[in-house]
Amino acid sequence: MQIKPYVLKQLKYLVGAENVQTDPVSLALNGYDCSQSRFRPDAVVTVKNPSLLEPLVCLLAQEKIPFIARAAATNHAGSCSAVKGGVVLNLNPLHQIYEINTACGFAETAPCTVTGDLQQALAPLGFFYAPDPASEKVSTLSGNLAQNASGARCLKYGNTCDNTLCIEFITPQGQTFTFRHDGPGPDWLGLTAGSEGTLGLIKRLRVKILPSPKHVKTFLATFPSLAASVQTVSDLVARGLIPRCVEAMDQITTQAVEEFAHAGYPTDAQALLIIELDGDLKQIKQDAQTLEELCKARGCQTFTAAKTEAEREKLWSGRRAAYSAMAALAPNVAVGDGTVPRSQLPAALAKVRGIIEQNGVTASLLFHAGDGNFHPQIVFDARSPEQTRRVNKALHEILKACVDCGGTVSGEHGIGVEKRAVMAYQYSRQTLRFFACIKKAFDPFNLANPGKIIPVGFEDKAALYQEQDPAVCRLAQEIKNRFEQKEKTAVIGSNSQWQTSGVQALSAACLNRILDIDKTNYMAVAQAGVRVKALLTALAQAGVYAQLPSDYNGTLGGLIASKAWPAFTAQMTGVQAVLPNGDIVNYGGKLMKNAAGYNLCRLFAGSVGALGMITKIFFKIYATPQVLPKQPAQPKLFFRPDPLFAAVKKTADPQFLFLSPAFEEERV
Amino acid sequence: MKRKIMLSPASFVPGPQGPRPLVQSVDYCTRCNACVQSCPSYLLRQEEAFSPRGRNQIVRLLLERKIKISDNPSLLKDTICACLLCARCTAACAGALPVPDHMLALRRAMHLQLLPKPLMLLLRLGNTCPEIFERLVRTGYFFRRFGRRPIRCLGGLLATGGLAWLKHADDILPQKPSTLKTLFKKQHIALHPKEPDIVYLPSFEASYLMAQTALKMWQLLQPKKVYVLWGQSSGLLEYLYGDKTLAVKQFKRLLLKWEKLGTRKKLPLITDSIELYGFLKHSPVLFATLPGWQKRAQALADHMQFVSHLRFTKTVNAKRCALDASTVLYPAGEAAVRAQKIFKTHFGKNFVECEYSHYAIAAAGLAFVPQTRAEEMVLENVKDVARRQIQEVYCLSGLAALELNASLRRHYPQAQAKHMVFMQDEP
Repeated sequence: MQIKPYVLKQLKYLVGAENVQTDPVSLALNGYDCSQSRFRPDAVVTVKNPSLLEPLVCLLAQEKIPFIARAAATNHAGSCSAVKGGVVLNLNPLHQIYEINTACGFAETAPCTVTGDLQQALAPLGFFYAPDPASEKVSTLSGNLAQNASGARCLKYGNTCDNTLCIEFITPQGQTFTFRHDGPGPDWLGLTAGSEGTLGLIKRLRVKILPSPKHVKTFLATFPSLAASVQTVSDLVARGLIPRCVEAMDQITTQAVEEFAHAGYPTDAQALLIIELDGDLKQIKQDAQTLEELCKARGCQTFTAAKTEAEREKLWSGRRAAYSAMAALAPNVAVGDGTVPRSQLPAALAKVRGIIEQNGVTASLLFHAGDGNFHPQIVFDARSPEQTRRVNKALHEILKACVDCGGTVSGEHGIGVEKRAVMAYQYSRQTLRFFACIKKAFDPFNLANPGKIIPVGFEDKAALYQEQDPAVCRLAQEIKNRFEQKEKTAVIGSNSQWQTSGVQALSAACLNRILDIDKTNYMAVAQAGVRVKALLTALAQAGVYAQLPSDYNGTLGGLIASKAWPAFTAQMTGVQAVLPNGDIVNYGGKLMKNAAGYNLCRLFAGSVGALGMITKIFFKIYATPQVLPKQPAQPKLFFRPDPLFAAVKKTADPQFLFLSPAFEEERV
Repeated sequence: MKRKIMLSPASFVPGPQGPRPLVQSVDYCTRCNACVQSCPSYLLRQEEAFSPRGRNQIVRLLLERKIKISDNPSLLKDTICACLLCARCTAACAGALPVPDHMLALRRAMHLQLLPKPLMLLLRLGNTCPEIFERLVRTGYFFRRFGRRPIRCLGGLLATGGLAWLKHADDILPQKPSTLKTLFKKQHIALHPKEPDIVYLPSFEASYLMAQTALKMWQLLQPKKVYVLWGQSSGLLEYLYGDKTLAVKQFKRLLLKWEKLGTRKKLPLITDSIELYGFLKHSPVLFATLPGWQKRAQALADHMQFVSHLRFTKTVNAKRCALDASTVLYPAGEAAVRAQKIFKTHFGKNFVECEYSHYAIAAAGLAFVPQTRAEEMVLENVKDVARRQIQEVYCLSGLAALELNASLRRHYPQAQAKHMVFMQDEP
């Protein structure tokens, strides 16, 4: 695709001639990232002033030219390569920190502020920013949010999306919106996290900052088996002891790392855990004792604590050197990323080792034991097509193995172009169709970072989803019948809030089962029609707690759809819903991290029944009672939907068959 | 007539496990971008072409023939010249990729476009006939008395590449400059004593611009018999800006001279410039295909010393000081670390530990960066000195001290920059 000369002229007029490059050298240099994909764009525009972003996007939208936001380009998935040509927007110059407010606990920055720079600015003030992706020294805040990259501290402090308070967002048509988690309507901020720039650009961010813990203590424990190490982590969580981070390695990796970095790791153990606790000294002492007890109970071979800062540094040096150890072995390192429910980790890792051996490739295996996220690092020489083919085959097989274990193909690296194909394996045809529909609503002309996330030709490749639960099947069939006869539907739970009446009402009250309370993964699965009070009683009987209000009368589905308790949105890890056309979509599961596809949990939270009927919810549970916000649950039902909500509604439900209090006018 | 630019894929560059061909070395970049925030020129430009990863990809794409130099020669020239060769990207890289060496290979491939011919001739003159070169420099100084214009003109001729400092030579050169030979003559010091104990290889700046550094160095080396290798080229300038074959030739000449001096016992070779030290330490890479010469070069590298290898007598200095570890070419890490230790023990609480990122860009003036940006970089540096209320900044290279001193004099006269040899003032 060639950009017409008059458009180039306009671009140059807008941002300055020196900031628009079309020569082959600049194009080639902006066509790659850390993955294997290389695509040349048609032009590179360096944006040095954030106020130019809207007019720039408007101009590109008017001329129907695709655009790709590019920051540090450190992703491993090909998320910012120009698959369909177009303009690459180099946003790196937008890296100022506008404000750090320690009193209210936020920092406001330009999109491409380097995460490490923010940490450096916060450190003297005694604060820190929780997400810590491995590339934090070079990766940018908006890039982290776009990929929902989280790092090791995610177990305790949540992922990037949870740590972002508010963003200014530019849609592919050039309109600017301010997104925050607790506003009425769907959680757009949550939806854009992990969207890889396919829904628009981030112009400004406000992130949460936390007071730095006064003391940090690091421990090293070795185990005779992977299963024992993973079980120890589950025990920790069960005791309500959530470490700052839990990093793990298997024996082969430990040996490779030890040879390279001499960090003093015992090489005879099957699994090794690096556990870090933070807080005040008394608490740490107490926790350390519990930790040692739990480790020993699971048959740990050695348990050592770093006594000095130097010792702590030495313990971490090995973990940090893991990539270097592999990078020195061969020209290329392919870093995989898969997440499975924590309990499935030993099984998944055994499968991965099998795949690695089968394909005859060399790889190290690191994993964040706390959240079930693992990263095989496969070394190879990209100049050899045979090796590259084998590595790609192994990576795809690993991802498929993840999905088979109930996991996802990406925990934090994103999908990009490299993992598009396996998306058709993980998601059903209906879900992928719905992803495409969301993309279309935001970006009707497919201009923002086209060709990412959604697999090409998924209608043929992805399987159709068949629901097993008869109650859900009945509901889906009913909705389908109404869709075919163009009859309206009003989705209700216990009808405690909207209080609608008439034949249109379709209640989810029949879906009133608690499907699972899983104390290994600390996840629960419940149907949407379960009353919150009943759910809390059942959880209390099982000895676990959830972040749910005790005084809410309605159903769980109603609570989520009306965003009555915004804090619960971050607790959801998976959702199942029936769309207005009767299709059943599934997203997530018992996963701590998921960066594959658009976050449907966040879309359905606050959607007031306009986009579909929530049928099943996966959410986090805890071993200890949770500190809850003091204000009562406030359902947000009657509000004026913003243009984005209207656009998504129009694409997902063009005939406005699903009635919703937010779209009351349509009903009239 | 246009000459064809050739990038030799087989030229050898250092690797973690010994020298390897360029074509193989560039392939080891996994494009992880860990290097990017360590590159001073990227931090200023924020463009991929000015990042170490981008530079490395340029070489790779050129070798793969996916781009041509003629596609955008000005951008290529800019990005090559803006590389300070400070090798901080190498330090940040998981695979320790020698990006500066890749840039040097490209520089060499493009050298005819990078430096004007008269400058190359002049540089060669400095190496081959130091006496004539000295006369030229002295003529330049002489003309300076009549105003700023003559040396500016000379600066215009020289103001490319690594000699950009000559543009403001008026500001930065000492008021009473003298060359090493004349100064030593005045002090009745013999340059070439018989049966020397140590060989001193002065840097370009100590030879021609600021002979005081050389004199101080000589004093520090007492009571040893010092053989001063004045006017002896090491091949560094050719290595950086010229032909590699010429660099090898010059280096061989130095090697032979050194071997001749120490017939009975190999003599230690000391220098006052961290760049020269770094270059000579890495010299074995020049002979990747010639094991015999490589062994001899290795012997020289093993006997190399820097100012920080000297013993300084303990004195108390009441001034707040900092150490600027910036270097062009290789970081020569252990020498810098040693220097830092010396400063810590000597100055105690008065030694201000600086963030490497701020101080390393003092060398900005040494490389080609657009004037406004260079000023920005230097100003940032000066601001940092002022913020920490530093009174003395010590540099490991004379040129860096000259450059930093000029900007300090202009913006923050309370502080001054000196070469490390001046850390012990005469009582």
